[in-house]
Amino acid sequence: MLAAISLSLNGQPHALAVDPAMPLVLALRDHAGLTGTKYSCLQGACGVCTVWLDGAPARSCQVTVADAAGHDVTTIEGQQGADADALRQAWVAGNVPQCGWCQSGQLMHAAALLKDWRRRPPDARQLRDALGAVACRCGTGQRVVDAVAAVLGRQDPA
Amino acid sequence: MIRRADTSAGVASGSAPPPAAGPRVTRRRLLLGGASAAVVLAVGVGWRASAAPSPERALWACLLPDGRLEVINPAIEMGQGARTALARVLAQSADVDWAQVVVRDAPYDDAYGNARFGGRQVTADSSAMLHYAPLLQAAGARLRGALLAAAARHWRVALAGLATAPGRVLHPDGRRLSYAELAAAVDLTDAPDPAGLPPPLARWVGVDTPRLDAADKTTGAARYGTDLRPADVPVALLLRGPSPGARPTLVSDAAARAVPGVVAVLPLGDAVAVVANDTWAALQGRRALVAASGALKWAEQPEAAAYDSEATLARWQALVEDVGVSGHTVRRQGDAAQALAGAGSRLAMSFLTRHVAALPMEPLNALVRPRLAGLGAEVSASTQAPSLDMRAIARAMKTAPPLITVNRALVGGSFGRRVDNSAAADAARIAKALGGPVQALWLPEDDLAHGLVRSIAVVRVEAALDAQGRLAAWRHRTVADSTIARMFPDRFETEGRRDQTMVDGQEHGYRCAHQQIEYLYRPTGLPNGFVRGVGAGFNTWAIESLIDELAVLAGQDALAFRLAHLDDDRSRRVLDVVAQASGWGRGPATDGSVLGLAFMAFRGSLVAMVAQVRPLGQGATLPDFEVPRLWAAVDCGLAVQPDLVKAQVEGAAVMGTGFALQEVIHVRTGRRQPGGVGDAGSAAGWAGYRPIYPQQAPRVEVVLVDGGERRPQGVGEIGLPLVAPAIANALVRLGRPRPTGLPLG
Repeated sequence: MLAAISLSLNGQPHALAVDPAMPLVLALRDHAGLTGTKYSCLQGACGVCTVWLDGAPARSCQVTVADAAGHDVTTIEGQQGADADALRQAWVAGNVPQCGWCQSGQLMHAAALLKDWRRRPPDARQLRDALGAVACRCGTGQRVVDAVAAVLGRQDPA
Repeated sequence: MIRRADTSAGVASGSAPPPAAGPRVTRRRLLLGGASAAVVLAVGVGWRASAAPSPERALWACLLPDGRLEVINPAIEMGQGARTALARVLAQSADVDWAQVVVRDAPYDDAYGNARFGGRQVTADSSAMLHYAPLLQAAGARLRGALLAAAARHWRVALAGLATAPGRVLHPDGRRLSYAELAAAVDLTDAPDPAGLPPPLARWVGVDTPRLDAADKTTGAARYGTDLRPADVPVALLLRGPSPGARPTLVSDAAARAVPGVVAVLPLGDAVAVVANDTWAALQGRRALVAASGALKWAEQPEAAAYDSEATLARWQALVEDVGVSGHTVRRQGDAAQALAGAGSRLAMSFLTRHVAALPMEPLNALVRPRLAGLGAEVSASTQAPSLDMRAIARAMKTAPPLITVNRALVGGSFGRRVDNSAAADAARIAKALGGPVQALWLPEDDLAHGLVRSIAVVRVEAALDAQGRLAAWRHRTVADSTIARMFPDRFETEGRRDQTMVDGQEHGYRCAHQQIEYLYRPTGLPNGFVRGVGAGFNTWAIESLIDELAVLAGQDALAFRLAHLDDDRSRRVLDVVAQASGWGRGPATDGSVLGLAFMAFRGSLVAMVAQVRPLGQGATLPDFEVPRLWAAVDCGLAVQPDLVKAQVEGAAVMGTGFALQEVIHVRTGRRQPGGVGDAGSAAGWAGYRPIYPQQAPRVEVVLVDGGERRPQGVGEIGLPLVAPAIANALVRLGRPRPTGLPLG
């Protein structure tokens, strides 16, 4: 029997009795019932599995359950607040998602950047390059940029 | 009580007993949770033309007692927005309030099949809107007619003076009846011919709405096929050999079985399945099996193990020039050979493309749950083709296809890849061996290493100009593998070794008296599959590259040359619009960037694209240029949801940029680069393939052009094929040599 590993999951204490070396994304999906976090490459390359670890974005295929022990994990299901609401509204208004598989990662990544950008507004290039680090096979990248630009009250992100 | 309808539409009200079979008249009842049986209305629409499928059995909409309209979505939702756009078509013709529309996906039933695919339930070839919109439009119109008739009976007035507004019928004196009030009185067997009624005002079609599934895709609530595995159902990953079709001998499964959570290790003929209680254990078990020396031996098939993609391309270059070797003739008009031979001014070039992968981001998946006593199975899968999954599973389980039920799930991207869902047969074989349920996954890295790819291709295009610089003769020969030959070999042979998906894009719209167009089938050593844009991905790139060269030869501007050879106003219009949008002909840009142009007719739509290419400084890594912007002018007939059309074109253009610049799978001695789990020396999986990221993607501006065509045409793939030739044509205008191979980088 595996010893349970404790962490905070979307604000609630949670215990995971799994292999400590298990990537966090697989523990979330297979053992915590949180399938909102998706994965694709399992190499830390695509960014689809992005969650927040203590409020900072992390690619959860590269974080083990042991790494997350004792830390705060926020997934798309637990992403709340004014910024998250604003992003979601902008996503819907801008018809951003297509298949949607990467969109949890896009949003978690964007929400983290938005926190910084509220303090220090990015230029157009920074917007595109920073947001564009999460892969999307449907090609929604420019709509992601436009949606975040809308939340930041900008007119012409291009 | 029931009589034959005077049109091909047949309908029935739900309070009557179930189907009395008439050829085109249906009575059907759909019971919904919470809805009373008395007032559920079913609208069936007959379909005269087709033999195999039977959409007259199909239910397309239910008017609920509260006035809400439940619309059945027959197509697979995989990101293209079919669920939203198709429902808008029915909502428009029924004149219901969009806020009162509830969309439900069609059940597994070939009544919802697409005639393009022999009546099978397949969503592909950009054909969902083309095929289903007329059916949904007719169903909605039929319903609206019946509502008008019911109101006329109620008010004892002539139907002619009545009108509708969303969700209600209007009397000329100002009285009104809501659809909810009329629901119980509707008699669909006595509905007037919708053709005789003035159509409702355009409220929903041609007018954008946020897609219905967008909100759930921002909260994690959207559940895809991969997400549907209950905790008590094991998951299986497959280990495959170094080259296609290699057969395993499992010497020892001890290493894999030593991983906690691994429940079975099963040799399957062309793979070994590692079955585990969770995904991590399956991954670890598979890794352990690879790492354990001598645990597994692979017997490769000599031909597959000898396949070399570059050597094959070299052979095909010789083959394509040998016009003595003929293939399937796609078009023969006049005498191209003679016209070419006698021409003073001619050009001939060969263009190569290499293997690329559709690479959807959700794993390929199938969850197969065998029924008791061997009575088939229940399946959940992210698939484009429930009907084909069913066949594959029935074959793998050696059972009758009708005993397999496939429940489609929300799909995390397809791009053609999930027409032939490789996980389906794997899951079936494993479930049969286990005697219990299992979900099989093909991770994206597995799909790259072992999955279906777009064929390499060599396209030879030759053309002659007359003394006035007009196109006088054209010959086009494509050498490529075939997906149809692999999936439906009998059909392939009976149709003369023709594969529509490989000849797609071969026929151009330029005026030319003498034309000879051929497709030569040659197998490669990789399993061929459908990839967004299919054959147009290599055919259009060759055609539009040569057209630019011909324009130079004729001493004309690339735009003027194309316009001079197009008689069709819609075609000319998209070229004019894209030229306007991109600033074509405006002279050199200050940043050194140049524009390249391309045009095609594809899937019933007309597309013109301009690429902006900017050279990077000395010492830049390849590609030593960037593509900041693309402009596309699109005439897709009726744009049911204009913003969804734009999104499809944007997305396909991004994928097209990846294919043009950098995405490629090389094969040597049957081994792919990037390769699979445990393949020595392989660039690692997903990242090794270098799929395009949003950071590198051009900004795509899409302009929709109304050319007067009222029927919706295909849009899912049309953004892809022109990207490569538009970029290549820009590079030539930068003074670089004509690119003849993809990827360019």
